[in-house]
Amino acid sequence: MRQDWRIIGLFVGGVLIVGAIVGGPLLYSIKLSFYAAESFIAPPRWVGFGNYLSVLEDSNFWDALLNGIMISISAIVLQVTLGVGIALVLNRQFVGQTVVRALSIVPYFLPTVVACLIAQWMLDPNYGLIKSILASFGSSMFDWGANSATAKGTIVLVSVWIWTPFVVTCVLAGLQTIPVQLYEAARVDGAGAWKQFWHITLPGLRSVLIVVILLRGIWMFNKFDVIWLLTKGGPLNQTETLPTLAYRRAFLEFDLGGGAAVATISFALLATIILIYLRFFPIDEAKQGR
Amino acid sequence: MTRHESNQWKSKGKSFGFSRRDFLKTSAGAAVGATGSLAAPYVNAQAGVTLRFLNNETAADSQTVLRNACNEYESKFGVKVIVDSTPISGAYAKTMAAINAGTPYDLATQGYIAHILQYARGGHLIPVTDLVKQHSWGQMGAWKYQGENWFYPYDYNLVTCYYRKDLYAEKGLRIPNTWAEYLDNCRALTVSKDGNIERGGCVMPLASDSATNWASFGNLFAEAPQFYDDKWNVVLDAPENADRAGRFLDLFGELYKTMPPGLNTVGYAELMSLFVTGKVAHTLYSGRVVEALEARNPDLADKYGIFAAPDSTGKQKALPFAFDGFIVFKTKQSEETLKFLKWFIDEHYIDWLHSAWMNFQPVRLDIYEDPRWKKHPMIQKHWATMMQMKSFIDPDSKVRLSSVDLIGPSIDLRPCKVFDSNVMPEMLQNKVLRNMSSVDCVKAAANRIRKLG
Amino acid sequence: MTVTQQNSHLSVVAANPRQAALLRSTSRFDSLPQDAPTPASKQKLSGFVSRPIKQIAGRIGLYAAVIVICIYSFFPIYWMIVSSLRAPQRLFLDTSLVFWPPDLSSYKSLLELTNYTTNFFNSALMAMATIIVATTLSAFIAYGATRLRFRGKTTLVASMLFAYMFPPLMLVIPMSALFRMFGLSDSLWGLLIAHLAISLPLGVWLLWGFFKSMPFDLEEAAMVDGCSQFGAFIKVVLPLSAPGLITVGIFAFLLSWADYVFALILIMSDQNKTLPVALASMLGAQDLRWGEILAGASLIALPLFVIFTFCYRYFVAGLTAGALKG
Repeated sequence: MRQDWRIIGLFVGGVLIVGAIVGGPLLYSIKLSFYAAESFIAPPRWVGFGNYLSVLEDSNFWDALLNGIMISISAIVLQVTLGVGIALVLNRQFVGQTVVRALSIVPYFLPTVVACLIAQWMLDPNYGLIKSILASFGSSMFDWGANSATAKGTIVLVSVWIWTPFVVTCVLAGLQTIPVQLYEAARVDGAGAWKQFWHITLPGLRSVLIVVILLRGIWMFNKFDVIWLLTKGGPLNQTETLPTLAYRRAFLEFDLGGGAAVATISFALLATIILIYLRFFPIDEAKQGR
Repeated sequence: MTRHESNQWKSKGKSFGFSRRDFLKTSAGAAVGATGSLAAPYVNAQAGVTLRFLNNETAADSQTVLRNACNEYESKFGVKVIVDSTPISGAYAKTMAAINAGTPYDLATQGYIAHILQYARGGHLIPVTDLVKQHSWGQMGAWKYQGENWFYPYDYNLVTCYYRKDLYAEKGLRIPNTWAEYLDNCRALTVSKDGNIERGGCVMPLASDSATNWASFGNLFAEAPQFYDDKWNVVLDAPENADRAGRFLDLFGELYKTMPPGLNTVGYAELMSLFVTGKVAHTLYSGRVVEALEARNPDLADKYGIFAAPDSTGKQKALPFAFDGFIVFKTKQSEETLKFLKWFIDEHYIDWLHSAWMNFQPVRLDIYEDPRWKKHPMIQKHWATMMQMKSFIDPDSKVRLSSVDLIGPSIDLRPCKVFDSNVMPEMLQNKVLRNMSSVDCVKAAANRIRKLG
Repeated sequence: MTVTQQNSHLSVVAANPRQAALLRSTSRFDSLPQDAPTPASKQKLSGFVSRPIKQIAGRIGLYAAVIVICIYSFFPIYWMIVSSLRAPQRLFLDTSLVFWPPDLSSYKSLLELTNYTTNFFNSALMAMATIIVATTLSAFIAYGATRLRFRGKTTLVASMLFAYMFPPLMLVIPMSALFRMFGLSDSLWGLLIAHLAISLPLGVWLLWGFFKSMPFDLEEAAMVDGCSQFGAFIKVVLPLSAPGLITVGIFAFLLSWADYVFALILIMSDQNKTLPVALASMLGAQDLRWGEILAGASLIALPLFVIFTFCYRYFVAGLTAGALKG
């Protein structure tokens, strides 16, 4: 069949534009990471792996990496557990099911800024709702921003609140693919609810969960806004992660090269983790579970 | 400079009966009338030129003054001045972006010495020494770098300690002269309920940001440890200095117990609003607190007082401070920029100061005598406070003015790095969040300063 | 059922099995939950009076869980709205759940005293431009990728999905440097480029699945009738793809409207800020005004509620087809 030149033209044009605005910056980022571009005024100077070395020597980098992994893992575990739980409830039949399902997705499409402002407002140690509730039980408000554990916990909880609905939606879709006959057969065999969940539901959701965990993991690891809005990496860099470190370097300490190096390292690490993950949980195999 | 992150809020100044707009109209009218003929001789502006002005005073009133002045200048001399208003948090990036793109601004408001030094060293500024030397200035106002003035200041932002006169009277307290007295006052005024602090004794921010760098170290500066010696060696952890800084940290640890919770995330906004809403008995801030009291809680507007931070023994007082001023960039039309700046200073400097009547505390000493400036109703209402603020900056003032970016033997980029990298806020955090001993906190801070080079 | 039937077509271009598998798996959640029957729970509500107590207790437990889920999901949002409707002097004291009578003074001062309207306009402009450009361009690319014959098609489409997972800072750091050179810093044009960079890969990915599932016969019929391929694309394919285009539009809107990272870094002046950044910077401004901040947050969420109510189907369809927002 003849190919219409207009289709070709628009396609090539579109691809070039995407290449320019996505690929261009990515390549430039890698290039920048080899330059000292400190004060912005002086032209960037080639430093080879200098930025990388200085990043890797910085103990903040390793702390940030560890914090990021801890925050990501705890957020993912909670998101998935809670998400599966909520999906199992919403999968039952009850009055107002559609409305409740819609309602449960609402946090996911709120802008992160709004979710974080709500959290700060409710958790404000001087004026917040949580303080009033605690006070009515005669107990005192905890200063969540002043302590490493509570600061991390707040970040995790807010992330869980925002992104669990994503897990819920995917798991709900996954639940529809489990043949109902399996449950009937299990019931005939006298399997209880727990056994059914463990032997039918969970294996049935395997492929969905593998992908969901992968995607949520990638996004949690790259998360900047929640952390920046809630704690700015404090107290004492205890909630600093690689994205906030890259931001701090590039835009608060005016070290664009260093920031680009942090971002590039973080991307390389993430890619490695993804590859390892896919080795252990190959998606091809997961497909067969369907 | 007004060290706040951003200024979304336009202060409307409705609370007093005198409309700002009327005032601007009359004073601008008077200025036009009085100088219409005089102005021409010294401004030989070249029609057709366009100047770009980066302004970081984003309060609506300040922007209005600038806009009016620029319109007037254009209609008189044919030189267009475009004002770009960007909050101080974005101003540096924007200035750099403009320089990088080959289209630098002609003129800017600027307060942070580090940035001025960087521009000056990069050869991007032209000195304003001739303009500065026409007037006499308050303490540190006319600072020089490499023998020139690069900066035409308009205001101080002294961090004075605000206290509640009514509460002091109630408890029979006196203005503290030593750290012990200050601590006693803070303790006496703290109100707790159910383990929550309902009203804090004081606030001293400790988050890693410019608010902490700006506000929290008055008591330390009064105690006057040396950070660097004359040759820029770090001596903060040398015996005598370490003792002084350590004592300050001990004080901070005690004061922290009287502060309301959430200080790790406190910025400029909370420093003011905690005081305005009666949640703390003392706060640290510039004159803008008075503006906020008038606008948001007029009941408290005649119940506050200010004092300077004492040292441990009552021998010395100190105030942290910052200042704002104008800088002129080196462009093809710098001559025109200087003409505009001179004109603006002659014609609109006072309107400009009035646009944040208490926060823009004048640096130029003659302003305090200027009837046009004095007649602002709010300045008159708070005249006693303003005079007290003036006494702090008078050339013969005994109060030590300092700032984290000025802790060296001379004006230099090194202390600015200390400011930027939040060494000092982290020293406070180490003390109260990590419960490190004061000695170790000081050591850690000294080592970090050394590393910065 | 909108962006859904692409599964069977995915394998057509699967050169690299793992890539294809990833593509398939991310796009495989192919049924709308609310449309589908719920096979695992066929029990009827009727006649539960005669049921044993255990069953009744089960129902009570279920409804209790549902109520908890509703409160968990919606109470914080409700609290934001209630607080924004309180009189400023009571804001810090009042913890009642009732907002009647509403006090609009926070909204009034938000609109009078801040740049909120300007920022709202900026956000709306960005969102509109992103929707239009992203939808159009991704339609061109996706259509070309499904109908043109060339090597590396799978790689191209897979790279779209991967581009979407890059750390945002790896895009925004170089962008801020590049924009500085080209005089695009602190400009909405620069921000538009950034918003396109995050929404285009997603759009291509979604529409690619959509066009893939569309039988070629339709276009062929049109072309037999004398239409060019381009004409067939415009007159036949696009109208039939309306649901897919709407889904892309919705997600482009969400990405642009909610973006904080790019606007924070690329925009500096108050006049050019978009809503999320303007709102967040109110918290750091010189005066703490929770009433206005919460009013502003409620107003940002409002258009989303409206869209969500009318486009819930597209939203869920897009979500399960791999349209994700981080």
